[in-house]
Amino acid sequence: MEGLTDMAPLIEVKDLAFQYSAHRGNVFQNVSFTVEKGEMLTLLGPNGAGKSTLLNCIAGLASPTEGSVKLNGEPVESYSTRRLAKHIGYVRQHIAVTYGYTVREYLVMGAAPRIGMFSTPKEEDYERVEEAIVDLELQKLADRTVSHLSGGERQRVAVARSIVQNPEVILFDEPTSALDFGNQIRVMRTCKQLVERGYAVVMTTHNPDQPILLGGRVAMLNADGTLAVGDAETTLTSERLSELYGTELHLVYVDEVDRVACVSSKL
Amino acid sequence: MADDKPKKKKLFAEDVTIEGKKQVPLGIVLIGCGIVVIALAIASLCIGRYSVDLQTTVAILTSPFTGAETTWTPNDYNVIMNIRLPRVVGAFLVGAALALSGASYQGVFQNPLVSPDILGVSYGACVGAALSILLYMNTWQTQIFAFVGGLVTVFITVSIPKFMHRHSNVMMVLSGVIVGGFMSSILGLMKYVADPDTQLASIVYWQLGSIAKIDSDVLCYTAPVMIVAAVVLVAMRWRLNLISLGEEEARSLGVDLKRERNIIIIASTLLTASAVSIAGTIGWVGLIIPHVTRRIVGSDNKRLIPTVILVAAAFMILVDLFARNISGFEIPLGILTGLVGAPIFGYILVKQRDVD
Amino acid sequence: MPGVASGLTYEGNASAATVLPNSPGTAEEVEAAFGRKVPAWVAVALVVMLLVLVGISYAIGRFAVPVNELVSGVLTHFFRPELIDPASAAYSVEAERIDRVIFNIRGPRILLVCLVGAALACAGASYQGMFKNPLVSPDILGSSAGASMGACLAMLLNLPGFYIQVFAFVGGLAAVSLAVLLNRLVKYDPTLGLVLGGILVSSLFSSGTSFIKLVADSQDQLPTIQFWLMGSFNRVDSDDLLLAVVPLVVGFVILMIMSWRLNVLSFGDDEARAMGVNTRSTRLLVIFASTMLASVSVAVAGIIGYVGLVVPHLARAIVGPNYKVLLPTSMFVGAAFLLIIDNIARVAFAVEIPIGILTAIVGVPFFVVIFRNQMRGWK
Repeated sequence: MEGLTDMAPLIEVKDLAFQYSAHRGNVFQNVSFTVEKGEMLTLLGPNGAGKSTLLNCIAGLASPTEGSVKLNGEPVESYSTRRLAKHIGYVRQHIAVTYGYTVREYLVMGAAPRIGMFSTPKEEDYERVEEAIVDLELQKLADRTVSHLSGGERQRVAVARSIVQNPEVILFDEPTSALDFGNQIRVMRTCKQLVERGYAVVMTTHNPDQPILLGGRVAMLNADGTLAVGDAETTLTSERLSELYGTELHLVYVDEVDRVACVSSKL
Repeated sequence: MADDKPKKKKLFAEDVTIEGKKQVPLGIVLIGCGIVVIALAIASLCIGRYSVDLQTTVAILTSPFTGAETTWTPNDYNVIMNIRLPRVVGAFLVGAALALSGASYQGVFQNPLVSPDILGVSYGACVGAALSILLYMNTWQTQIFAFVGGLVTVFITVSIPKFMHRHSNVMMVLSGVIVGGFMSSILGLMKYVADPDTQLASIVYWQLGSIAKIDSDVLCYTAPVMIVAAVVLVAMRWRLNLISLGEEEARSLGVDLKRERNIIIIASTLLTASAVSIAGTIGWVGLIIPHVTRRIVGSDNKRLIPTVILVAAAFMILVDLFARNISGFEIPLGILTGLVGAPIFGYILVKQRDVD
Repeated sequence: MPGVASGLTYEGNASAATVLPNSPGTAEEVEAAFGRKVPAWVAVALVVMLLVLVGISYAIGRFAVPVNELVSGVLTHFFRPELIDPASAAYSVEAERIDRVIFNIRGPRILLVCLVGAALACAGASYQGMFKNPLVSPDILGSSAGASMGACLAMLLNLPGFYIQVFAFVGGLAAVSLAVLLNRLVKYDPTLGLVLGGILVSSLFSSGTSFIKLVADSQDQLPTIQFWLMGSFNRVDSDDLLLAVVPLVVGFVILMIMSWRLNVLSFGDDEARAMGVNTRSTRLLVIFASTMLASVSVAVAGIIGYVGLVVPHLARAIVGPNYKVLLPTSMFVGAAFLLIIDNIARVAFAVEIPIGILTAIVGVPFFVVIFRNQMRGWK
């Protein structure tokens, strides 16, 4: 058993297809890719391409119409919700909290998969929370109410909760789409740090610049519902991006920052 | 757009935390509340049309344990032990049950505006209990009927917004108002077919909400059920935090949502039904007390739930004390909690705005 | 968020979906947006249906008047008054009996049932449009609870019928004003604050009612209050009718005049303001008129729930969302609905069942069935 889990990729998505209802057709189909331990994968695609649905399929929150998702060689359906949560963390785009939990109270909820149904967090769980607070420099926010935080602060708090949860892979659903430019960069930096610490990160975005910045692998979800996977440098080409977004885009090398950037032509 | 969505949802989010301040340790809060409850309970035992002085009361109360020699009249003993003590215990249990189920409903439905009475559960339980009175059933069966009535009601109330694909706090409140009103109408029908000489009076009187009838017999039947349900809810208090984050968040944190939600709803409904079956519909306690308590200990259910029990008990004992002593006749508790609860809720509503 | 507001699309029913354009700029465009033509036969059918129901109401129950006698009785009343004049030579005892039943016993009751049904439905439709919420009903702001308490107070003081109505109206108005005032203090979005304020005020006033019941004389006053609260047309007479007609008509007229604004309001506050509609005064006027309708209904017939909730949905299923058509349709359907219920209450059982109980028991299942087909339009 141990050998098997060592051999199998962390996440293996095979021939995945999804449709909401029969007459509306597939959102995506023939989607196959793998995510290895400690790897960064960016899911790139225009709005409505089904990126979030794909993440939900991986997280076991949505059932694919066809195909399979395997986690450590076992189908995700065979995992209980609790066991799945020990392996997969999920950071959502909008974090709406109905009650006025403080950041500390919110963070300790990350420990839920390891806490019994009739139990409450122990001392060591709170210690993990303090570590995560230091990790993500949340000291100033720690006693504030989550629902009073700004979008960027909330995003960081959600990441910290995932660290408390300590899964193998953290899924990010459009973490940057609601943030201003500075916060977008900060979130991506956090993602990169997570990968450096050994977490696998799967992040969705509709901004083609981000996979280039992040490095790692990119999976491009095309408008026709198919997927192209590979390294950012080889997979992303001006032609493919232009076709994907239906507008003229160019990949240009920018001297000052020593990297390739995606820019549009004049309007 | 960034903050638009959460803000929209937050319109009546209960955002109370003691922001920036260090929280008072839970133990101290509980001890403080416990002292208040005990003080009020003893006051409630002493005060009344037939008043008993403090020393005598304490002596009578402790006599089963100390075996102290009798320095009181049999009348004193009777009033304290057989009339007022069951009543105070009843007030404690009913208040705690309503507020505890209120706080649990608020967590499980992610909606700070719900409570046993707003969801209509109290009225549904009332219908069940009234039915059992019509069928001349005993206390035990009344409780089962009340529970089934409450469970059916909570199911209908929650289904209406789901059915309409419009999930918002207001929709659930409105749905509860409609279903509750419906249940009251059915109750009206039952009153109509009830035997006016025997059953009608007992239904009407008990529906208004009173704990005057509580005796040790009734307590023996209901208290164990309430305690079991309360223990379950207290044990699961931290799960309420997780569930209150919403369906998807809870699931990705490993919560077995269906099972845990069902357990909590059943336990809460059981508490409400038990409270209703011994004391009728007493409104507002289940809504107000959790809100007031959040102002004391914050929103974390780990701290909130135990505190709610004591605060509600204190409130209920106090209200009962007033109900007995404020005028020549006894005022039904439901009326008093309405007159006190509605203004408090208004105050919270107005105050809430300042917090945002 | 104008996007959300204008995304509100009503659909008459599943087959005829009308998607509103995003930004109506002018009155014409609003008209066009709601431009589902309602065939004339619908109006005719509604009127005929109501007339048939009136005929049936006369023909059943105690003092039944079959249709032929009804027609001849009405003709007699207006064209041969000598038949019913005891002083004249042509006086017929039988004709006078029928005339009394038609105009003094059954007539006021039927008319009042129709008026109250129409009032509740009309107020309900207006509220649902104003709050943009399918679950609100005319008593959501506490008008029924307030009116009940007022009326109970009058009964406690042994005041005559006229004062019961006045007290009921004042009570209803006071409750609603309190709810509106609370909403002003709270300054939430209009729907949530008003709804919460209404629930709060309702509860407060029903506590008051309970208190009145408590101090009422249990031999004499309590049964009267108790029975009256459950709703009944059992004891209405032509005096009640006269008292109720004026405020009801005023309420109807105000809401009819506001119907266009209700159409505009359904696009959302921002759009409405952009079109020059004063949303605040519109709201206050609609609230005032609806309160008047609801309170008068309570004053004459006690609490009758669910008519204002269910009937507008039924009407919307028939004629679609245009308030200019929807309000009159709601009135007709409401009148017909309550007339049927009142007949059941009167005839179906040995003793008369309180009508408030029946409307709830008939109304709620009805409500669920209608929603099956209607709900898509409210998303």
